[in-house]
Amino acid sequence: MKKEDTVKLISAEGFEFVVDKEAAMVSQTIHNMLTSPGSFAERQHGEVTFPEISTTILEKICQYFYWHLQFASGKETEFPIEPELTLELMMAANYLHT
Amino acid sequence: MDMYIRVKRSKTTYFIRCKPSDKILDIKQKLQELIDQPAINQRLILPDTGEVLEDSKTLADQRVENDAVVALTLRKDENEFEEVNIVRPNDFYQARDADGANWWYDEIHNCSGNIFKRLIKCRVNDVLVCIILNLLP
Amino acid sequence: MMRRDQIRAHKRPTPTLVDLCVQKVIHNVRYLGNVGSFDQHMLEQILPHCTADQLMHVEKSTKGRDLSPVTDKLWKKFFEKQFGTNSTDEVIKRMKEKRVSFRWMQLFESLMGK
Repeated sequence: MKKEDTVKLISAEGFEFVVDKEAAMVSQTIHNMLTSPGSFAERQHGEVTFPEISTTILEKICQYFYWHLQFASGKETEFPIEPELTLELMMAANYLHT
Repeated sequence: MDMYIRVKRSKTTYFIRCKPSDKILDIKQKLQELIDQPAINQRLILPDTGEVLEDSKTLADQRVENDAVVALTLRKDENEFEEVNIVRPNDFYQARDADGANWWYDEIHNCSGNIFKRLIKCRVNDVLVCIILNLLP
Repeated sequence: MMRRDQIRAHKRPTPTLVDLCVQKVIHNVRYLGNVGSFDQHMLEQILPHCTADQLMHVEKSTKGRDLSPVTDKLWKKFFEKQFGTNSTDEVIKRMKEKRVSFRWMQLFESLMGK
């Protein structure tokens, strides 16, 4: 596991989630941020800040990234979503094209 | 991909891909790449029980499962490691946990009785009524 | 046989997080209130699962946004179900004659109150 294969996602409250780029790029939005020529800063520092996404939601999204990779490789479990998170999570997922 | 664990210290969480057969030392070596601290300066602890995970044992041995949270502490000096420190977000959701699952739908609980009865009073358009009043037998 | 099932299972596309959340919201649709911030494509998926009472609550809870692009056809269905196809056709005919057009929610609401 190399540092340059990971990306740091930072929540509204400044909490940090270090995830594999492969996992983060489950999100089309993050994929574009990390690959498009316009987003130099993100690629340079390997960090993306989401001032609109709270810590709890961002962690849940990271868990989804890994669940997605597991599901795609044939491990089909259910992804748990707490009812009180659903609406906020749906908005964030929509924003992240996830 | 077999599994991942969430290694937490302060306000940072590392998502680490691993296998049940990985030894704790393997995990520390993966972490070493990310935090620039050799395995010997790391200690991994199960935050719920305080159990210190042993380098030579596997994740499966110590019942560390997919999505588990593991606390990382670093060496302070030759003999001492820092205390477990996982900062929890003080956001909106944590505070509501105690209320159970349905708080986000609060609105509806304030709305009792037949919703239509209350709404009908509001605005009935005269023309509309003309059109539909004698509609039904 | 089994093998074919396995292959089929394996081909199942991974649901997006939006899909999973939408399913969850549909499952709990009876608690839905203000949907002002939802994208239209989410509303198109979620709102058809509401009963008339639930949809009315959603409409009234959602301030500052007109949901009729999504809900007018749903209200027409409720209207038809409640008052029959003949009444529905009659309403359409009369609206045409009088050259007025009303939202089906409004029509439904008024008739329910009668």
